[in-house]
Amino acid sequence: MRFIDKVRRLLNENPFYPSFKINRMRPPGAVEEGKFMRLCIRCARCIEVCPYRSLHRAGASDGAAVGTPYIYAEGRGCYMCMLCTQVCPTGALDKEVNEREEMSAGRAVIDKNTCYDYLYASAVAEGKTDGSALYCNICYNSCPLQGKAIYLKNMEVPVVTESCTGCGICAERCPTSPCSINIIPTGMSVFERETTDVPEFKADFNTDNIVREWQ
Amino acid sequence: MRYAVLRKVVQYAVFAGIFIVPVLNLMEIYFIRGSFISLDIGGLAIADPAMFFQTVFTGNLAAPLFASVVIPVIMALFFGRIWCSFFCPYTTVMELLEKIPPVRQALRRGKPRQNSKRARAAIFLGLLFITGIAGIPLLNLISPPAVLSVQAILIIKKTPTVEMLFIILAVGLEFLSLRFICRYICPTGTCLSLFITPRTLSPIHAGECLNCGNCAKICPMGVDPVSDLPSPFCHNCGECIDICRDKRKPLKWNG
Repeated sequence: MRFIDKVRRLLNENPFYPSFKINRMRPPGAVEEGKFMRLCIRCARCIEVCPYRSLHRAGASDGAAVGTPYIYAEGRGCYMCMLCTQVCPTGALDKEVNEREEMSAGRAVIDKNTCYDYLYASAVAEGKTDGSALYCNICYNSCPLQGKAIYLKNMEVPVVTESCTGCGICAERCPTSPCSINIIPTGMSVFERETTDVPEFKADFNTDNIVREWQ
Repeated sequence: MRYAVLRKVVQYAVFAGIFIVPVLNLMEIYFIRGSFISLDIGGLAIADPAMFFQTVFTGNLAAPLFASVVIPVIMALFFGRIWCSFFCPYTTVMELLEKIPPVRQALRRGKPRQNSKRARAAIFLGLLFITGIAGIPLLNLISPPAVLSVQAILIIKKTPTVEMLFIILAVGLEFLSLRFICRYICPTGTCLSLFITPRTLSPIHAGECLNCGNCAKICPMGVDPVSDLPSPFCHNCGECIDICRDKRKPLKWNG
């Protein structure tokens, strides 16, 4: 690594800068990450009010974000009851966000190399008949915006659309390990995705494809 | 003595309350919501003034907070740092610890403590400065009532987080210098003492007394009631008035 790259990485990983991780989203209605970190006074009222216990208080591993609320999609997704946006005293969560469709915590991305449905489709295409392929559809069936945020292409494989709110219920339910459907939190750039601590993620995805879907 | 009884009742009720409120929330009773950083009692918003000040320093003035600090500020203008002695769960924890005789002995040994207003102001300004540089709220990490009430919610709903370490550190510091956190570090206490005026409720020492020194010995905040009152370090716990055995009543409320 060149010296300038080291400096760049050091500065970009400044703990006071917003940091993102896959499957770790802000609550519904959260403002842009940098503003959120300044506005949130870590009062835990959103965590207290969350009836699904989806919201967690960030711990030591989250650096300067300690005390802020997060949804960890693999543990439990957000069920979009929108109680938390109503109790935030500082406006870090936008009170105007009342409808499920208005939430934009992130976007689900399907890993086509491990998703059971995609494996099934390719097995069918190759004409395999040994019965090892599974047909799953759990992400499609669990999606609160079924048909809108996710649909079954050719009645066969799930495809995520622009309407995905990033609630993370699909990641919570995904039967594969690691998850084949992951949430990219809003604001997470390609650069940060490449420096993520989930190495398989980088390898498994065609980055160009994600960016196109994402924009 | 009635004052002391009232204080204990409020203290224990509040301490139980920080655990009961999240339970009530689980039962979908939302009359009281929130932590000591931001509280909502039947629609009445109350916020910690120190937490408000830090949002000014992080460059994001949160407008809804502005209205909600009014109640604590009015309370401080009339009754001084009554928050610390009546409501703060950290004070309750420390006073409960002091009920154990060997712990009390360990806490109360050593030389009489000196309070420096200048050092406290420097620490407070320094903390606000650091918060301003970081650009994110940090005072919530070192305010014991904020940490305790938030962790109480987490104990009920989830598991406590790393912030709990601060409380353990704070209690450890007590053995070196009693109420060090309350006297110098706690941004909430420092912030509330900014609103103390000469007419604010406070014990005062007027006239002759026996000079027995009991009041200075009992004061948890290291204030000498004979010479120092009114003091921004005094949190109106009233223990000096209760211990005074002088029939002439030199120590009384100015109220």
